[in-house]
Amino acid sequence: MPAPRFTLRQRNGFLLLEILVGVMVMAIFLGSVSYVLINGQKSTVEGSDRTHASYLAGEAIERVRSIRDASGTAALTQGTWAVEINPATKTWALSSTIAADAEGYTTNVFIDRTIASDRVRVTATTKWHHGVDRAEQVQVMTEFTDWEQATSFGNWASPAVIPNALSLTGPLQDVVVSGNNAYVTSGGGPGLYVLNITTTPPTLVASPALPGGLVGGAMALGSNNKLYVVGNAAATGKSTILQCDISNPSAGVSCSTYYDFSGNGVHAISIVVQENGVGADTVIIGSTYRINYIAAVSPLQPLAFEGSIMSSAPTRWDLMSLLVPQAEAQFSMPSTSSSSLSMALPYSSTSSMSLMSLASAFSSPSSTSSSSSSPSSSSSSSSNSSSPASSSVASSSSSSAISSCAQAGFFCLTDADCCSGVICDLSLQPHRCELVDGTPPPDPYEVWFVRNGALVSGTQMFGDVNDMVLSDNNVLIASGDTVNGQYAVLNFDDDSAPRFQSPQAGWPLPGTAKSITTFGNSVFVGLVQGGSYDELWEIDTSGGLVPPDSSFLRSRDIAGVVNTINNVVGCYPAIGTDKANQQLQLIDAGTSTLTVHGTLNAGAPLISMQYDPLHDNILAVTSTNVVVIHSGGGSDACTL
Amino acid sequence: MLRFALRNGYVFLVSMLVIGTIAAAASVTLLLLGWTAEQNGELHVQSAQSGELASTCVERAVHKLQLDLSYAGNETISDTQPFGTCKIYNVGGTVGSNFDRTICVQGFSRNGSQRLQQVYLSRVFPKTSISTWDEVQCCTAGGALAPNCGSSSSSNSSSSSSSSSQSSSNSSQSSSVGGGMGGNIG
Repeated sequence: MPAPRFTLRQRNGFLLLEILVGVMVMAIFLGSVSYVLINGQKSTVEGSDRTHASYLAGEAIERVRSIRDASGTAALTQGTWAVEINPATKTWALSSTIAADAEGYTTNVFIDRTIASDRVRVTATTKWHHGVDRAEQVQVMTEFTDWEQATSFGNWASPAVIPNALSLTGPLQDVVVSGNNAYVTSGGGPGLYVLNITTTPPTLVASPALPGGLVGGAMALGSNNKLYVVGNAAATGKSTILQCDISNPSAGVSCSTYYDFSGNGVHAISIVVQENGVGADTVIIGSTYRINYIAAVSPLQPLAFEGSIMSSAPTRWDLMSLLVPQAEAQFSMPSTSSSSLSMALPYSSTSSMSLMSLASAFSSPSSTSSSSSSPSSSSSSSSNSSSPASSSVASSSSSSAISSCAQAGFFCLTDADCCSGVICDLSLQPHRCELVDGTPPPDPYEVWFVRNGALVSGTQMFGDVNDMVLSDNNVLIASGDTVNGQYAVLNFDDDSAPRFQSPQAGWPLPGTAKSITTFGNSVFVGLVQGGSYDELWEIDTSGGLVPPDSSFLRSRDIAGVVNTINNVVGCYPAIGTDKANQQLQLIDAGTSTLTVHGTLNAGAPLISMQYDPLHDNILAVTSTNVVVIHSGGGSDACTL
Repeated sequence: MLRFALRNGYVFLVSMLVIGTIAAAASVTLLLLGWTAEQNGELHVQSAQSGELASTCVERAVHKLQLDLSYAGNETISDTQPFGTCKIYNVGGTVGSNFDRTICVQGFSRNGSQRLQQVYLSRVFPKTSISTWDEVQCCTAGGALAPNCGSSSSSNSSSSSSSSSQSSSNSSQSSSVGGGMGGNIG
């Protein structure tokens, strides 16, 4: 086999080629390594520089914030500035000299006042050079407002009514303020009024008729520009909860049914809303005590009956309270399932009477005879009054009033002995009477939870739920409930299963609670009492929403019914009463005797009110007027 | 003879391969470290920006509450672009109340970094008093849409919480202090 001829020559050539290839591979390898090393280092430095610059930019923002904190946004002048220490004042100040620091970073802030009248945008920029020819920069932006500045707050020790109240068709029920508009509900007329409160007196923007001819009741604001309104059927008092869109009040307010309670026979008195996001508000309704089956309303004059209790036996009715509007007196009975009831009247001597005799006394002749068949009317009662002034139902004093009412028939104890089946409810308005249709309520609740337009749950109480206020997931309730307490706390962490505070649901107060609000660490409750009894109560909640003992309570005699109570007038809870010449009273919270800070003669009992922070006014409604109350001149003793 | 020469070359070659491998690994490591440092720098900027956006929303929310105690929140502020956006969740507390209002906000920078802040106002009028201004991992207020602490109904809670900032829920900052620099890198 012959040997290859060109083996040696080929090997020499390949050796050279291998050397060249080797050198090239090595060069490429070393070049790559060098490139990677350089760029890796470069990236590391760049990342470090960027972090450094970010700190400097953030620091510049904080310096500007310091200026804002000291002097407000007015000190932030439009333009591009450096922020440096002013040697004279030793505080941060804007400087037109923008220079690089020792490490080559140049930081400036651009203050833009053109974005809005009440906001300032600050953009901090830090620049530096990466290498010799590559400029880098970092920007951080924030905005400042003047929220730290105290808002206008006048002397509320001497409030004054702004003349020329706005007159509307009453009876006005509630007022809510939202921005430059106020919303007023009425038991007559269109039911809802939209007001422009930038003018004094407020001007009427719109008066949208509530759907279905409903008249207005209580209101509460919800999320996403929604207003929840209790609409009541004028004839029956049965309620429908309406949801109104108030996103553009000047263009009109439209209301639609959110939940119809008429099927439940509910007459709603109070409403609060827990905001849970768009479409997820929990609307909480407080209703009358088992007057859940109202069928019609008829006029009634001197004597009216408020409330009726259906006790544990569904066929049994107990009388809860009786209101005599002309005498402005109320006598009440404790809730009980026994056939023996006691009652008290503030204008007579102590006595007692049976439900039977009461029914007989107040019923029309035709119904009196049938009332004897009622299980509840078979026994007489012993006196065990819960009212401070126990007294009897003086037949002589009440008979004249009764007789005029009895002709129309104004209350009943059972379906069988009902004198035309009439129940009067003064919470609607005085001198009106509501007819019982005899249909038991499907859900015997007084507090109702509605979410997404659907009924979620209900809770039973033993009195009219006159007012409510929220404290986190707790409803603080002012009612006539003598079982859970006129002040009661209902937790709704799970609104499908609300539960009262344990072991004590609430705290008993000496009279029906009509209004409630929170104020700092306290809860203020106003009572329907009158006379020489304490109607204003402050409950210190530092020991819990339900006070552990009576040392956490303070009270004061207001000498009038506390119709409404509000917490937003800066330092002072404000109460609206029916006391002559002192319908508005501002209270010095925290004082041992609840000193009155200022009073005002509003000319008529205040039904509802709310503070208008934009104008430092209280917007209040009487039965037919919208009254604007402004603080007096000079400074206030309010120290915050 | 040829076999010995080849053996010497192999030693050199193997040595070069080992050195080259180490050099390559070191280079790649340095490259990755540099890239990571660069990313960290950028993320730091975005984190600071999202914190400032959250502070922006707090400023706006408090101011709006001062203008209207019934201000409900639940809005996304987007006129802060191109820096990012921020969201004001439902304002907690009693609607219309002057006391005990809670604001939960979230700042979102353009790269997805987000930071959550919660502010508790003990009083709005006549001078707003802020008790706490915290950077939090989840909000105790703000409604169902907020990254809610322990809320089973919040679909956002898990994702937002996992990417939100360090928890400082127990810390109490001065009212003048906006968001800190700690935190969330989303």
